[in-house]
Amino acid sequence: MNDDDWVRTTLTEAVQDIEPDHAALSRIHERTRTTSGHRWLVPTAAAAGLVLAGTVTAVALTRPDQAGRHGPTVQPTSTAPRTRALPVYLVGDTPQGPRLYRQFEQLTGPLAAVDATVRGLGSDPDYRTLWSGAGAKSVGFESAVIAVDLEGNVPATRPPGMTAFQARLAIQQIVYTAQGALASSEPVVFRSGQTPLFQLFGVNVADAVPRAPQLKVLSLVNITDPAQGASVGGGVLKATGLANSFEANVPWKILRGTTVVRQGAVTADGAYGSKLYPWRLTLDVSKLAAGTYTLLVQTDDPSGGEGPGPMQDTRTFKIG
Amino acid sequence: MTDLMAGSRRERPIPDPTATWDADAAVDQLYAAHYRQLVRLSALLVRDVGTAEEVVQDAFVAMHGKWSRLRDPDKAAAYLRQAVVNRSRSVLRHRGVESRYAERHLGVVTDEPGADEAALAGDRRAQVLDALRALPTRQREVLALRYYLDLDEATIADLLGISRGAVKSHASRGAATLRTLLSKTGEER
Repeated sequence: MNDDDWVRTTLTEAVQDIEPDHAALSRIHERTRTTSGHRWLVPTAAAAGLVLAGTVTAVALTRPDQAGRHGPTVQPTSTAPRTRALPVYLVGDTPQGPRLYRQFEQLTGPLAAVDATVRGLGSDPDYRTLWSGAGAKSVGFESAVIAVDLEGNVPATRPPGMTAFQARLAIQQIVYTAQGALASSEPVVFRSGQTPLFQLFGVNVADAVPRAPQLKVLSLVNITDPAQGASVGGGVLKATGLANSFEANVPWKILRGTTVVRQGAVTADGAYGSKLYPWRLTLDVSKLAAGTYTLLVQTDDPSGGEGPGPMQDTRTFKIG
Repeated sequence: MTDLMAGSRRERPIPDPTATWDADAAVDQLYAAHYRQLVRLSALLVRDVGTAEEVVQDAFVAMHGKWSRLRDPDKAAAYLRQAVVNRSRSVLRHRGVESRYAERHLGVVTDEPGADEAALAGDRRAQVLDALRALPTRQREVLALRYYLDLDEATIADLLGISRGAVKSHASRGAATLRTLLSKTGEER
């Protein structure tokens, strides 16, 4: 290849796998909002100041200044509620018990996201909430924590039939969703009608609750795109998601009804470790007839059926 | 690869609804069209993906404030490009990238873990980004704009405030040095 092509290919390949933080857009919107933009940056910097020392603290503390410099801007001219894609973590079943699945929903803000997880309002019918008869009233930053005010049925003790793991998972539904929607990693304190809650489902929440380790509470595979019921145009299905699978191998299938019409595997960006890694699937579907299909993505199961079996996520999409 | 060319080769006229965009809508639309490409551009300039994300978010926040004057997606895209190049340069000058790295890895601002690790997972990628960092700033910028964004010489000259001749010479010197640096690290191509 000639010199120009060599440089072009070299540079493109060096960055082609970089995928933006999914929370970037909401982070930008938070900062362009004249009031809340400052509100959320200040505790972030404060938290950094508590944790870090020396030069890093100085770096962290420049954040509010930046907001001040770019912050005061045009007020939205429309009064119609604007929505954006926010993560909602709901519960789905796996061979290893219930786990959290992340999906993105078009919502007006972090309160709507937390309310959606508590009420189990997701567009994918495979997922549910472990809460019953509760909702969220407010969600916001307070010094170095996220405060979530709940309403309705907020039991202090574990209801009959709920396991200790489910109790913790119910609380993590809110922790993961609130942190994701606010683009924050601050722990969560719970209230009901402004009264602090010390115990929820028998779990001590007197101290702010941090997010639980990903591999303990998340499904080891999930689909980010396409959204449930999305129409795939242009003859190309572009799917993305996260997985922590054996040797980074992520098998997938396209089904029409129960018939497998395509199958294969993609390699995630990593494996092992303590988190999920991005995977991507770009598939020519121009030969598939118009209709409704299901994308099924799994973790690899090297046990050949001896173990509990693979985890999976599914998404329905339309062609044509 | 077509999305990499957005704003440069794509000539498709964008219909008039843009006239009704408010600043928030402009952020949404331009985010969808350009955010990922700009993060990758900035990563070529600053190496660290976390820093790149922050640089680009700063640029979008600044663009939001200027929207009432820009009022045009193409102008806004050019503004974002310029802001990202300028901010990438100043972030390297004024801020220890290592400090940013530490901040991110202590989990202060990150929600989606793994962007940094993913970016640097491949030795090859790390070598390329390291080699770029070893180039003089202007050469690095010209290479990224010329070969990653596919901008023409005149646009690059405007953007960087240098002559077209300088763009040409930075590009050829930068490419030669990049090749030398990468062949030293054992890369054959």
